[in-house]
Amino acid sequence: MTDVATRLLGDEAFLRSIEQLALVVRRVARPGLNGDHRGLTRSNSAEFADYRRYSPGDDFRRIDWNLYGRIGALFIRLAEAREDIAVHILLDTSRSMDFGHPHKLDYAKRLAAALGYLALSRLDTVTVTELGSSLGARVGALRGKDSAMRLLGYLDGLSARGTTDLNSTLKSYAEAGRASGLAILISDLLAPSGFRAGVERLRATRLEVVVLQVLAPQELDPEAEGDVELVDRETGEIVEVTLTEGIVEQYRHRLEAWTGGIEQTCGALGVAYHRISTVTPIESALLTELRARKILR
Amino acid sequence: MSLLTPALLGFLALIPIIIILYLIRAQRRREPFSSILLWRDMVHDLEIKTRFRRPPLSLLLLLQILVALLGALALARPFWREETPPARQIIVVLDASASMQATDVEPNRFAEAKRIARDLLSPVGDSVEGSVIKAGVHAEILAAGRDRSALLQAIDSAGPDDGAGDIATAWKLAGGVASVRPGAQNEVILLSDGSFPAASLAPIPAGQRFISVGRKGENQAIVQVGVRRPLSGSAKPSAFVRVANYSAVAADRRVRVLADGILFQEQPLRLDPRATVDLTFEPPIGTRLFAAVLVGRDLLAVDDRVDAIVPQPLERDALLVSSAPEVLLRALRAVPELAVRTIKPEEYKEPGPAVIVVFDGFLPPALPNAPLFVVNPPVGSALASARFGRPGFASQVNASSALVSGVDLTPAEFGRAAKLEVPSWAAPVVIGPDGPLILEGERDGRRAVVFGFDPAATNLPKLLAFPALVVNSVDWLLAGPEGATKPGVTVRLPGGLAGQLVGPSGQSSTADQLALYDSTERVGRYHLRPSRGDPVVVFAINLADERESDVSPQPFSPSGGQGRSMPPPLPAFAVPTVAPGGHPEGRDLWLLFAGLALATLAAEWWVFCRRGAS
Repeated sequence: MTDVATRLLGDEAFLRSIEQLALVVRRVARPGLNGDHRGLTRSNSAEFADYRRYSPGDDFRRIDWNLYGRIGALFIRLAEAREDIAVHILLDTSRSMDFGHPHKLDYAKRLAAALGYLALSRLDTVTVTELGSSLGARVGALRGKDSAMRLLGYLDGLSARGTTDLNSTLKSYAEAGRASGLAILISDLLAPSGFRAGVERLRATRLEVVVLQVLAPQELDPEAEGDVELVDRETGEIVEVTLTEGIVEQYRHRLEAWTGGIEQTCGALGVAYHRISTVTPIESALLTELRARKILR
Repeated sequence: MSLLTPALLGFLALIPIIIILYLIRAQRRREPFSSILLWRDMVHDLEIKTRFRRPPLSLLLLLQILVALLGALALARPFWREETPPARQIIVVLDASASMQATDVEPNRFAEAKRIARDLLSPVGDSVEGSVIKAGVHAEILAAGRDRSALLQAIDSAGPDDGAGDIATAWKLAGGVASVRPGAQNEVILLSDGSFPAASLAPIPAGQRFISVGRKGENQAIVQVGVRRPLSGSAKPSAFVRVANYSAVAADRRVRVLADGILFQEQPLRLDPRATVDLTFEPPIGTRLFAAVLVGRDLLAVDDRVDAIVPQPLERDALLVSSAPEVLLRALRAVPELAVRTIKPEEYKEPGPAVIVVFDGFLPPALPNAPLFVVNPPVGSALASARFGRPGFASQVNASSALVSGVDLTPAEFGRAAKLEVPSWAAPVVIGPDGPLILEGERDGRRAVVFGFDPAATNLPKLLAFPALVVNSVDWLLAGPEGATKPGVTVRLPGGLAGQLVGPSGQSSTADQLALYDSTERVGRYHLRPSRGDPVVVFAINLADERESDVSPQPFSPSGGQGRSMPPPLPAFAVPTVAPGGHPEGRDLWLLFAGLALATLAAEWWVFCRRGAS
């Protein structure tokens, strides 16, 4: 088994836990296939919702004969419509994700695997696409837990490369004519041009968007001291810095301001946002933090 | 706290060097980072454009400065003086005189004294101090302190000298050592055979003990030797030897006499108990080195041989520069084997072969490089500034000077002598009421004598003292080293000689412009071989000491009973040296500082590694 698969499938208790979770979607999407998300309309699925009087043309198989025996009138059983959603996992694989202990891309892949498995177990369709300097390979649409191994195999094959241009890649993804659904962007968001325009384009295509920002502890609280040359993983650009307590504190303030700005942007766009440190166990991230943010239920 | 090697505080210069290294921008290490997006705007604050910068106040810098500080302090040997309780002190005085070579105890008395001294110093340790003082021809403290091994090592390396021991000085040294520990239980223990004058021991502030070493006194010795040329003018020298028997029984010995190392006479000798025998010999003409040896064994070997240098007839010339030479010429003609040539001052020029130059009432601007005899220097010359206003007489005489040996200057009147300007190379021999009258000295390796008076204007020509004074002066001006002297005595050598001086046991030392030689602890002949071809200078050292040769152990009694008595001890409080309550002791703190420096270095390394790993 692959690394991501080993980690995910090797923990049965965790699998059982996440199978109980579901992605919260405000704009449920595609009617038709019986997914595991409650729809806005009634359907004839197995789950009882209400009765209505029989009228000619109705399916005889849905008449409740027990009720007819008790009250002498014909009623048709109505079931709640169960609709699937299309889950689009957009995974940033730029070289900036190749950083940190624990490693950001590894963590992002495990997060994508867990969310994808969660969606597959709910009979949603799952598509995973890597985002670099342009749109990369994708897998999907997958459906059902039988597709989990494909999902995991795909994720294992991903490696960090290229630079980050979220606006461009998200626009490209939106323009590819995806159906509505839930887009989960997993990225460090360290894109010089930002991500707002791209997310707006996703929203315009009726995709509900969740932004999960993954950062390493070394980015949240740099520990290096002294005279260093910071080398950008993506561009190779160098910045000479003398790291002192004061300078690091200044960086922390800047980071907080930056992530605060991202959160504000997401709020303005009606996009769910959560920042995750790679030191946070995946279980805690899913079972506690994302549930608390009402991204999962 | 004081420092034993404060010069090594110079290593504190490492501190500014460390800071300078921090000031200089070091090669930055590369750190990959996910993105410099958040750093880029801060660059103007962070990037250092200049070569120098303000040093960051980092823990590493502080630790490195601390290491340099502690290391420099450790090297400077910080020394903490603290009060310690009074300790017991054992001061051992080892008699290292020639008599301690007597073999009546095996292997000899000095070895026995060393063995006893080792036992006496066995309590030396934390609370007991020890000192070892050697009383040889010179007294010296060999070792002192609480390090017993150092004391024993000093004892082991000590040996007896060939001369009389300076017990008196050693005893004073012991008293001095005791006086610096007034609160301690001081005990001075003298290990000796008693061959020293008891009266020479001064009272000291310590308990005293005398341990006698030696059992018997059967010894014979040559106690006097003298060689001279007869006054008759014969070329054949005559030698005089006195042999003494210190035993209570008669002794039969043989005397062997050597001339220049060759036996020329040997005769049997019957020595009565506690008696002396005088012998005379006539070595062959031309003999330079005379030696007499007592054949056979006795308790002390060092006094069984004497050496003497035979005085040689000298062909001596003098150049007298004088306008009225009569009085001085008469005195100079009294000097044996001295040929005098007289010239007028105006005829004077740089002398040729003259041995002595005598200036009478005249002094040239440039003094010749020869033995100088200046009489009545003219006023205004380099030696005389004026003339005294009244007649002078000898109010003070340096009796140790060879110039006045056997000369009675009491009746002498010196007239109105010149007021002598004493040059740096000269010292007064005779001083009148107004200033020096006679000077002697050595300039550029040549001796000089100055008479500040005009003999013709004094009553000296009528006195026997004047020719004696002139003869002594000429002899001193031309003298070589003493023919024979005693161990430990400083020997004056002909000035200006450079070469190698070889002692009797073969030890040699190279000397440049050697004038005085004091390493004369061993008896025998010493040869100075000048490097520039001058004749070899020889002098002899003989024991010739009746007190040392009389090796009969002399008992001491501490209370003045029978035998010689020890001086009463002075109370310790009578010595106003150190405040009561103890003596400041030192504790060397370098190890502490070195340990702290190492610990700080380890901490610095730990911090460095930790940062490197993170």
